[in-house]
Amino acid sequence: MARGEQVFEVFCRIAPGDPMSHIGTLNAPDIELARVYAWKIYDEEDWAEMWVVPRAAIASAHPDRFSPGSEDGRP
Amino acid sequence: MSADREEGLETSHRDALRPAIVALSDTKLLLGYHYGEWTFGPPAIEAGIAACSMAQEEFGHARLLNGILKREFDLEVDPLNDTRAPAEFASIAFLDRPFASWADVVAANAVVDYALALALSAFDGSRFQPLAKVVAKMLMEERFHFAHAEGWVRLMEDRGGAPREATRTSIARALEDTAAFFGPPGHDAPLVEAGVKSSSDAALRDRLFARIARLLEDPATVGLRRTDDTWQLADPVVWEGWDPARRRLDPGGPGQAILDELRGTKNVAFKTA
Repeated sequence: MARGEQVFEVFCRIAPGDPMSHIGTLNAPDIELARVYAWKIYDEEDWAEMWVVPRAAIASAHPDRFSPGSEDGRP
Repeated sequence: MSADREEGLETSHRDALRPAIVALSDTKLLLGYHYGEWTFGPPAIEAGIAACSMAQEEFGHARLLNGILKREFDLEVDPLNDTRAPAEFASIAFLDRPFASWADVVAANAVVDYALALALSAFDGSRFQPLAKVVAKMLMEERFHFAHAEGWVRLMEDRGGAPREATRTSIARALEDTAAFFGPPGHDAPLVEAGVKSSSDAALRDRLFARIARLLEDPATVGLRRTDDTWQLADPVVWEGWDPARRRLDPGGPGQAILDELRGTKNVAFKTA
């Protein structure tokens, strides 16, 4: 992944089988530091799972976000 | 002598083990202090939170080790009641002074912190149960410390220019001071032979050098050179004057101002115990 400050979204599951919840965001220059920062910042639970996703990799699937000329669902 | 003290170790092994644990505890205390100082001032808010979190973990580890020193060796190393002079501390010399910049934090994180994790890992499965029982939890927390360090070293290597140069300079100094922490080859042979440690300090030092070398485009820039199958300091350590009690060559110690802060010297009047 290219180096440069990016926004990452953080998702967690408290226990296996629980719904995945969006718990916050963070800034990091790459995915490796994003993983460390996520665990250090959002440590209020003993999470069963924690995932970080670059915001740029998330595409909206809501119909309202489909606009003419958009090929990927991004606004 | 405490009633639940670990039995079964020979006196000579106990005598050799004690300074090793003191050095771990002292260095973790100082490392925690510096991480704590850098809760504010790092190049990213997230990095400050990580530094603060790592400070808590280092203090926690030091406290745990101090508990072992008290129970097993009748040694009181409570930072708030510690009256030792700076030249009695067994901490790695790189931590003696305030960190000048983020480069020093990255170097301490990559070199000193990882060296401590390696030193702890040698007690995983140790015959010395008081330490063996707590090592796994400490190492679990340490995983994130090195991931953080690795991220920042690689970032600075990619960045180039002055930040990379500053980071390399700090890493070179940290490597030199940390090499002394592991001592001359063979100094811990009796502990390894007795099953108190699973690995010699010399082997751990080789692992430290190898891991740091892997992070860098050119390990020579931090004073490492390849010899046979290992990485070593290009300027070999001269062991004359090495203090086995303090595990360092540098005769100095942590700055008095740092010790005063750690001890709460200005706030003695507010002590509750």
